[in-house]
Amino acid sequence: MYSISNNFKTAIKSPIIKYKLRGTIGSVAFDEDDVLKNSLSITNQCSGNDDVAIGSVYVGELNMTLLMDINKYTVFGQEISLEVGVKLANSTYEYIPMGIFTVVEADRTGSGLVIKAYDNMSKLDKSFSEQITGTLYEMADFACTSCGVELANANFNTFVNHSHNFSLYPDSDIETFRDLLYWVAQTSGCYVTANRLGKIEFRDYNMTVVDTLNPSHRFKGGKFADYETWYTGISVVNMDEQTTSYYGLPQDDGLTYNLGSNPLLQYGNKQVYRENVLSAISSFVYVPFNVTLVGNPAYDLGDVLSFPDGLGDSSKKFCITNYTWIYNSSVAISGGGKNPKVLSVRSKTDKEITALAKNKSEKDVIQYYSFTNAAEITVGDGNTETIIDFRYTAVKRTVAVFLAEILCDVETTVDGINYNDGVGRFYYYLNSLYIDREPKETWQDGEHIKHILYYLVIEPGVLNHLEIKLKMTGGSATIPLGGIKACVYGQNLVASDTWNGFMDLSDNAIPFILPNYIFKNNLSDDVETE
Amino acid sequence: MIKDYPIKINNTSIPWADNPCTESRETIENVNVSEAGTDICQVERLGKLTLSFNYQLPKNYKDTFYGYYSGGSTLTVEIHNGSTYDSYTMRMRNWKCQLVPGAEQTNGVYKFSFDLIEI
Repeated sequence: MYSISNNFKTAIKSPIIKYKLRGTIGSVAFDEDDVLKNSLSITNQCSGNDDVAIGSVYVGELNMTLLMDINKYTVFGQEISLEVGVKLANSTYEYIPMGIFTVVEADRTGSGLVIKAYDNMSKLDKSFSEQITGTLYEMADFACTSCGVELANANFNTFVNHSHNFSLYPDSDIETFRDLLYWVAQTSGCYVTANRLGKIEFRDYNMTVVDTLNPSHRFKGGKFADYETWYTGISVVNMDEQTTSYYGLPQDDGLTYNLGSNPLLQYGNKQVYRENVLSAISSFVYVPFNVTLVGNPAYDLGDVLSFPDGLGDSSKKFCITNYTWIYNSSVAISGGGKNPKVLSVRSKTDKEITALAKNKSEKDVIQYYSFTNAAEITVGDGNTETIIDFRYTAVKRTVAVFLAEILCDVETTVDGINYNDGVGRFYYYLNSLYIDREPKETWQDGEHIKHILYYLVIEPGVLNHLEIKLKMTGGSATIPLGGIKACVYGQNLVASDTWNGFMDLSDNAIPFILPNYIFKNNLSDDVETE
Repeated sequence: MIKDYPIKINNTSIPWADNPCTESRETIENVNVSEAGTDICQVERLGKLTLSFNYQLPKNYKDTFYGYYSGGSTLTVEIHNGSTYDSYTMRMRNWKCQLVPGAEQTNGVYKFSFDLIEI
């Protein structure tokens, strides 16, 4: 929030408010008489509509229609400076700056001269293709200096990763200085905006309330989410390996922030850098909201507000991530954020799998999951055993092929007498649901090779579990170690060469008859691990 | 409207008649209702002046006033406040005119009305 006097604060919260306006476009001065009613607005944001973001480098936009006569063909590229005054109790006006903007569009219409102008963040849209090394502050200062704007921060000492040296290489996919600031800000756990004096300012999110707005200060029609939004995990793309890493807090019950392929987090002590970013982004908890207020010109992005009473909640914090200010009318402020309780129903393992599913190299490339039995399997006569067990997922909806070759030694003799042939039935279970397909084969005593095949329709982002069970009747089958070679292969599958984190445990119990009365009570069992 | 200090339009005194003019003032403001049900007013302008006139005069006066209306441009209107004239830039709108019945033989007497609205 811009620094204002107590008189200003009192005046802006009185039921009757009066404003004045003064500004310049180039060397031409204008005031409220020269601006079409409800045409002057400023819009800016530091996050998308749906989340609280770090690294954002949004350009603020001013729109207005001027009624004054300005020489033709002289407006484009001119600098606009603007100040808004609020009438105080002593009938004087306290003015505050609203920013420095550069005209990017100007159209002469019947209503007047319609102007669109961008703030100084747009000046960073200059080509960048250099290899640089330094601290995050040095990189930010370099970018601003190169683009002819001033960096507002004196240092980055309060931001994470400020003391480390980073390097950027020409292949880092950064095209403009604004891209560079994006990654620098993300690595600092900050967002960037052009402040009211036209300087580029890095800010971090915090939990310090700057203003309290009672129901009498909020226009009717406000909206407050019935949940809080917070982060407890991040995911980062490892560019070299084309994989994604996930980092989560011990209590990982919040949202996951995707840092993308941040080039500053690829080298050096990247584990520490990334965990520092996680600590920054997990430091706040906000409630998303949409509220319209009187056109208080003092609010800034990142301001944390308290909305007690009414629809609000004085115990919660509300952060401005998006605003549209309209002169003499209103300021519509909002704070975004998803509901972790909806999104975090997935386990940490699921998140790791989701991160894995974002691996770039696996799109439209044939991948496969393989399976080999790591121990001998014996399926006794009349018994059923799981012989193949897969977990797999895909980045797109796809159809994959399951193939298996099973070597088995069938024993149908008892004491050297062969009574009959053995029958092997294969049962397919997908996500523990039986698939109505039972290939079976009659085997004589001896060694056999069995091939089975199945087509799998795979939905994206879903972890699937395929089990193949073998039931023997009329004999037993022994599958030696490594006797099963199976795979699921197809396009858009996500491959992993690491353990997926699942351990399947089973226990065999001798069948017994349950007395009728036992169903009147809950069945329970205990499982212990050592 | 004071008889000795008639209203002037473009520096010309308009004819005196009994109570021909009503003065009204308007506040231009944005009024919103707060979540608590109270009004929040953001005042853009206080005391915007509107003068409403009703005359019954011969045709030549009607033509003079209609000339102001049909001219379409702003008018400089001076109103005496009891001690001095205040000047306003105004526009003429809502022109209405009616021939008084039975007055046709005298080249016409007209009832006419209009508003002067401050810019």
